[in-house]
Amino acid sequence: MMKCRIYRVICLLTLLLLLAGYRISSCSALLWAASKPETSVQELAVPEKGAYTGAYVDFGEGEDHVTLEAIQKFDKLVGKHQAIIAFGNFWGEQQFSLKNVQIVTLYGAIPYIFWSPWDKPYSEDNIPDRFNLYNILNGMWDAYIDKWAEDARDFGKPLLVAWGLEMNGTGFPWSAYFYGGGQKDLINQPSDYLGPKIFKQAYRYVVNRVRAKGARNIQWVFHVNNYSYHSGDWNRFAAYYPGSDYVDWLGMSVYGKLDNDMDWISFYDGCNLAYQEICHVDPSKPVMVAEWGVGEYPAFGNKAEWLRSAFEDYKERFPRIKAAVYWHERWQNEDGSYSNLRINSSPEALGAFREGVEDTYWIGNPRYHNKKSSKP
Amino acid sequence: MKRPGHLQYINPRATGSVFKHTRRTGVPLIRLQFMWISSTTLFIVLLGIAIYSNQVLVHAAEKQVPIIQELAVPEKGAYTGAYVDFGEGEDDVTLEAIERFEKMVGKHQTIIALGNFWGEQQFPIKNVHIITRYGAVPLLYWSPWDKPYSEGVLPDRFNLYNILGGMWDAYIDKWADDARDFGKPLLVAWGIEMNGTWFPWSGYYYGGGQKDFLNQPSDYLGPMIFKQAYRYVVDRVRAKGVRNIQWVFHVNNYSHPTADWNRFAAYYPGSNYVDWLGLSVYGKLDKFMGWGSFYDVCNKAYQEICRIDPSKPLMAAEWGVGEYPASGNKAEWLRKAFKDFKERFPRIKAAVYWHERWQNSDESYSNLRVNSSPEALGAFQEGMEDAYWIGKPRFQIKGSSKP
Repeated sequence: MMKCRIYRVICLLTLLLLLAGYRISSCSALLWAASKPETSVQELAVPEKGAYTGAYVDFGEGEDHVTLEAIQKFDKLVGKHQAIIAFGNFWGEQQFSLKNVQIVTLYGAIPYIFWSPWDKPYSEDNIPDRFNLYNILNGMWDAYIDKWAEDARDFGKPLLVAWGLEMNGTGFPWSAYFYGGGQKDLINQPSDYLGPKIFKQAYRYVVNRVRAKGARNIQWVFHVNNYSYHSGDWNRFAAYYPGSDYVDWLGMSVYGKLDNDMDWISFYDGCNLAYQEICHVDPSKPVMVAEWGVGEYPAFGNKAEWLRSAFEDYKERFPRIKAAVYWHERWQNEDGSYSNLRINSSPEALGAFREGVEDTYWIGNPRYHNKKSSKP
Repeated sequence: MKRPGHLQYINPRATGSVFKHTRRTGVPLIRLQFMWISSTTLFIVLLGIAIYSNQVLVHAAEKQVPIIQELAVPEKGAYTGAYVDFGEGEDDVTLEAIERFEKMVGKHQTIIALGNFWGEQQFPIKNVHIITRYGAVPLLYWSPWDKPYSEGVLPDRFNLYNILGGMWDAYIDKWADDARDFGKPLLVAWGIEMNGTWFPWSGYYYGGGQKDFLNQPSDYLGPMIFKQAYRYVVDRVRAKGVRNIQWVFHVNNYSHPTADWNRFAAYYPGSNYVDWLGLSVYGKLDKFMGWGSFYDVCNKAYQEICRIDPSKPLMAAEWGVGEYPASGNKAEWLRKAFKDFKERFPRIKAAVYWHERWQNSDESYSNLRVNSSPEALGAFQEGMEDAYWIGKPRFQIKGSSKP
């Protein structure tokens, strides 16, 4: 019995020593892990010459039915690998779209996520829903944001994320239009406009929360529409700009004729004013045409020609544009008509697109570099 | 106190159980030896019972809509009322405070106002009982406002978009059930002073003067969203069978910002949704405001609100002035106000004085109390003495035109 006891004591001591050793080693492992991510996170490099080519490839109603097949089919169709693949990840889903970013990364592109605070059924022209900016600012969605951020961080590979895109319109419920619009901020700073100010607050709130979770693999895209609707002074891009610390890329949507009601205008005409304006917003950031495209309307204009000129303009007139994401989709409108933005809406359009991206100006694979640790 | 409305009410469920009871007690009466007589007799008896019970049910259904009383609009004079410093949430109502106020001003009050903010998440049954026991009609400021009830902050979880999205349906329904079960007349103002910037339900925070591009570009977005929310709430309350509420459309006398989109009419939800038009009309409240007579602060707003709906009675749903001897004479201000109510504003059929003293962020005090000075109190008492001011509510059967 005595032996037994001693044996037990010895066992206990050994166990304690082992535990202590484990705790020390796990402690140093934790320290090592804590210091490591600072240097190991990669991000999309801004190319000195040329621009990344990318696409949104008709991923359905929620813009999130991402498949490798669809991406590869598009790749084959245009004859060039895509550096960026864009898709929606709306708040109504209530989760980080891990499967989709894995598919896109597996394909070899960087995912560009439209992370829109939008509830099902994702119809435009509704008043704000449960994800309205006031709820976000009041912390109602903190748990969701935190979980999303953790999942994004754990995914680890580079991501581009646009939060609250095209806020300078009226079609999306996060538009400043619904939050006081051009009213002066009489409570705090009468020189500010209320709507854009609330948007900016919400944008910063969301980004701050995501960063607090250590999600350093995200580059943030400030994504406006090329024209503001309506076109008041309060609704200019600058009014929405949350600041250099909160933005890695400046983004804009630039479309040609999309439906029966719109006029036919060239890419240059649709882009130039917006390009000048957004370049002014922040001279230090790269610009991305975060969505671009045009419908097939033979009676109004030549899509192939429109595309050809666009590719030329990117290269020659808009040097700060370092990426362009084509919106490859066809949808039916309320009036029964179709908007066909697909690059293969006609053989001529397809030919022009293929010819355009063939140019080595268009970079088909993402280039990464280590994120500078000085950056937030 | 008797609730005349409830005495008339026959619960259909109760009559239903009477029906069942009759049938059940009927069965043992059928003795075995008579059974041969009488499947026919039994049938006739049962039929008779059924017809009789059916009549009871029909009768009950007719009576099911209880007779409801409401505050009558006085042909002459106006009701007097007050908010009596019920604290931060405007809801610490006590019988003592009300009775003390009555003693002080020398007149019973017809209306006692109180806050009932959504942050409380319940109908203030205790408070309405106290007020009804005192003998006044409660005026509820039923504000979609969350704690800590501070002004000048962004819309909270009760923002109009959430209300319209149905997020607070369960709360509204429960509140409505409780208000209906209380049964006695209530005045309720939902979303008061929406034409300012200090409350989070202001049109200002919901698009303000932007044109409503999505629906009707001739409408202004902010007021449109407010109207939608107001109707949404009232419709839901009514759907619960609440008929003892008269709804007060309660604006601030001046719109801030001053703009066409922010005028009273832009917010008016329609005659079907409003029983009283209400106005907040204050004189100088703090150091920054100028001294203006009651007539000066009231007249334009009075004209504007009268135009909105010629068929509705008008209420000064809040009125008062601070004690600022260096700027003006409060006693004089009150004296003139009482005269103006009577002589210049005949459509004002009720006035609720805001009897409160509070400290401002710059440490100064705003003292609106009627007894901020002996002179002020004297003027108020004198004003109240006039038989023009009706100290007790007069009720009428809802829907009838005369008290």
